[in-house]
Amino acid sequence: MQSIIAALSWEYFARNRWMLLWFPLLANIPALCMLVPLQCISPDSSFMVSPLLIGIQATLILSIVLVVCFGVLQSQGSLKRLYRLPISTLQIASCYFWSGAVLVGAHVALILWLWKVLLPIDWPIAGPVVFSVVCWCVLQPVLRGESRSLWWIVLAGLIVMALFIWLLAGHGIPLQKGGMLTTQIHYWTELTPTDWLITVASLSLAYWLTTLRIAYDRCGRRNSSLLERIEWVWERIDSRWFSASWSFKSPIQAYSWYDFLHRFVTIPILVTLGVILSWMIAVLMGVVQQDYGTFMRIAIGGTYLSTGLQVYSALLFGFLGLFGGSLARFESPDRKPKTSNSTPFEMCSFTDTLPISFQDKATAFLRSSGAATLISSAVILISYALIAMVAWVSGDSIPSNELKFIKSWEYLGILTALSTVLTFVFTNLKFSIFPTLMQIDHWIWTFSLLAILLACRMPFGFCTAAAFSILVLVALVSSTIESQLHSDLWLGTAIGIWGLGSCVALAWCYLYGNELGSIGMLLVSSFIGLSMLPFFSTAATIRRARTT
Amino acid sequence: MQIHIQTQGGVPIYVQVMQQIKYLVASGRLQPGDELPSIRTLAEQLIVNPNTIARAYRELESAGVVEKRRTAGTYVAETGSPLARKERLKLLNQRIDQLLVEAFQMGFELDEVLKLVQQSQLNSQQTKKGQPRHE
Amino acid sequence: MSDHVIDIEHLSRSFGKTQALQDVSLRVPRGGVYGLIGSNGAGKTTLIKHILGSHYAQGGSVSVFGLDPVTDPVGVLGRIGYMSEDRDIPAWMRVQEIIGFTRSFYPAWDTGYAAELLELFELDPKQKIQCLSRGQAARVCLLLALSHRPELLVLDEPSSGLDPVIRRDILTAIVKTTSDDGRTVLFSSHLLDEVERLADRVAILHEGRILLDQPLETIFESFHRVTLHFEDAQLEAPGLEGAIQSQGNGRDWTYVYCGEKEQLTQAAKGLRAQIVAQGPLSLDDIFVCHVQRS
Repeated sequence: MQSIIAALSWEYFARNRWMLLWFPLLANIPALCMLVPLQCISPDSSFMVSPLLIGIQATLILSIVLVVCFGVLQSQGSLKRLYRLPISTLQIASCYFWSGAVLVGAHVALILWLWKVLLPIDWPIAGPVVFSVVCWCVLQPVLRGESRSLWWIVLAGLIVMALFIWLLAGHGIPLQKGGMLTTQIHYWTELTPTDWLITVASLSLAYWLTTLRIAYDRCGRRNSSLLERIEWVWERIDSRWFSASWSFKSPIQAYSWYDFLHRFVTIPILVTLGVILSWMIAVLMGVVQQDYGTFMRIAIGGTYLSTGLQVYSALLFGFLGLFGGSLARFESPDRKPKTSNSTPFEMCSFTDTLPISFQDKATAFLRSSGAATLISSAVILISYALIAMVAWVSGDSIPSNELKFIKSWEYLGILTALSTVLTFVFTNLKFSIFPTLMQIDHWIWTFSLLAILLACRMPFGFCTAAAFSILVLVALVSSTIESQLHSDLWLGTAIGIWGLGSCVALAWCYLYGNELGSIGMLLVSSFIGLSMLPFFSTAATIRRARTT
Repeated sequence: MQIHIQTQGGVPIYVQVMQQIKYLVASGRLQPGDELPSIRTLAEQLIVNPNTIARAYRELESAGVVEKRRTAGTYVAETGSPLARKERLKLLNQRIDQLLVEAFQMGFELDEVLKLVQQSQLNSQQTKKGQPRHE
Repeated sequence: MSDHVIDIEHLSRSFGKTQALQDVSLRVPRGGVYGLIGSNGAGKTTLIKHILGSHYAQGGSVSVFGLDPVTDPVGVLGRIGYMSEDRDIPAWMRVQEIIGFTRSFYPAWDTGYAAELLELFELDPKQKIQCLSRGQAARVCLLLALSHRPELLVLDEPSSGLDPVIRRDILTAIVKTTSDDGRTVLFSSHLLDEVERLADRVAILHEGRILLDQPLETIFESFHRVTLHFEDAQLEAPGLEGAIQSQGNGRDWTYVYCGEKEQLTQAAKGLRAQIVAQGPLSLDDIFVCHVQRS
């Protein structure tokens, strides 16, 4: 027994040397993306007392907990391969359940400690760590076992929502009127007896359920739970109505259909779920509290968070796509034995051998990522429009005293536009942005400019932003030239994209120049530039990536 | 028409097909004028390359065992019987050669081999006579 | 247009320190079945990936239908039916979805033939691919590779890990494809029984090099197993010209001999030895002795 546990631990660490290093780093990215600019804006760390920060902290904690849980789950791999070892089900369950819990807790504690050292923030560690452990444990009975259909994921999402409410309750947020947007800051500094009770109860229940599920799974029994029945009904509906006889007009259409369902469909689904959920909660709370303000606040706040969800999920998918080559290995060790010659950009070999030209494939990629972006943005805009309609019908405007950070409808519109641009950029990270920006000759330009600017004693923030925009510009120009050389794109279309992109960037800088400042203008222009990049570089990247 | 192909033996497949068709003709299980299956059908039935079957038919044709008729199809040649006898002799000769080679390698003389052949023929006659009695 | 569907000349390829292919020249004539045999890791899949344009030629050249597969994927892949060893078709699709999806890429898609194959293979069009057994998934792949009636059918280890019934389907498909005029099949395998049944021409690939590339008949005609009996006991096998392998002890030595029979008789006389046994070799033996020798 001793030796089996030791062998399993050794196997785990030997297999996941890099995963265990990568995931905490990956989990840090969104936090640093948000917190470092905040710190730059207010160097006296006055943002520390902003009530907005509690919302950010709660969201960040949830996101790092989810990323870490996902990472540990992936690193543990499928339990199926252990079923034929001579160890009891209880041993399998407890080995993976508790070691995972410890790892998740340790990761989260490490990340939070890192932030505390790097940034001038004073966030509690104990509360989030307990939260992360509970999160991990409660998700175990859902995620273990073979069936990983959509419905199990929906159930997992519901559990996460419930846990998020608990997390917010730890901050004292949903329990009082005015909630998180009062000037008072409630961090989850102390763990109340209720918290401990929730923890112990959910841990033991989750442990019991996990053991049960693994035991069921091990002897090959399908537990005909309600979920399985829903799944069965859904399967019937799906096969009856959604997969009629398929015929596509062109290879582009077929490929974009495939690519949309294969890669991006999750983004619009997540955003739609977020919007629907926030509307449900808003209506519920509004009715319960008999308060129009509460309804407005939750509806707007929820949609606002869904905007964040759109960008964040696109970013996460973009990064997961980049590391796809290495991640795929951990998905199910028994199904994919061959990764010897794989490159980070390797596509599925079946789709790789379809006779489709690079240009058509690029168009299909752009269409599918564009569709994912536009559908999710449209859902958000519709939600705002509905809220505006409700406000108009009831003759009231946004309760501005409570939503200080939402200044006007215009502000929400700009934010949505920005999130649309960012989502498009992140969905194209794998086949366009990342490979193009990673070319060495572009970096030579960037570093030389950075050196010149620093020599002129410009402020560091400005230099970095300028260097970034130069990098984007160089990449954009070179990929435009390359696309013309290979005639991937008509000259007219290329000029049109350049014209439109520069017009939008100029308009943005002209309208909001004062608020953005020079750094902001550079960054916004760079992001618009980045969103233009896929049109020129996708075909070239596919051409390079197909052949190794 | 039943043909069985064995790989791993080192005998080319077209030779196996030829020998078996010759044997079928010689033993009378294929009568003169019988139609042979088309190349495609036989290839799919035996799961062998159609070119192999085509070659076997070609060689059989040049040996005069089968003939191609103007209305597509391959038939067992009408003038089969004298040829069949020749073929039978040839087949038998091959077996005899094999037997003799093995006999000499084992150090038997021709007389002993002939004696053995006669002996085994007697044995088989006795068993043939014996069988009806039991029935 | 040349008579060769595939024309590979002096192709070399290495991945890091591993030399996957080394000066490989291969010409696949139009029509007929070309069998590519080699042990695991011999470079068969790498060679096939070059034909599909997934690898560029580090040294030498590859041309398929007279076109460069790297720069012209539509021209080359549109005329190839390919079935990979992994059979990695998207698992979330339904059978009819993947048929509809694949159809849109091939203008020559034969809907009637696809429906016929669907029925022949007893596939349920509404089933998801992840629910299919390995054999059924292989049948779906085969259907996708055949339905546009490709000029060139490329099968990479088509029957590895499959049961005899499905292997029979695959082999029948190969036979049917070749009975249509002008269609070419290239298939790699390490099941030599299949190769012996189907191939017109065979190439043996070992550690990235082509050891033998000849019509199957020529191979059978030129390789024999010969046992020589020497007058005196020999400590090691006496050198026989044309022999590629020898084993035995004492007075009897067995050789794998490549060449004409008359030369063999003379060579045996020269060694003052007597030919005591002579017989044909199976493809298995020929393959094994080539691999062992190199």
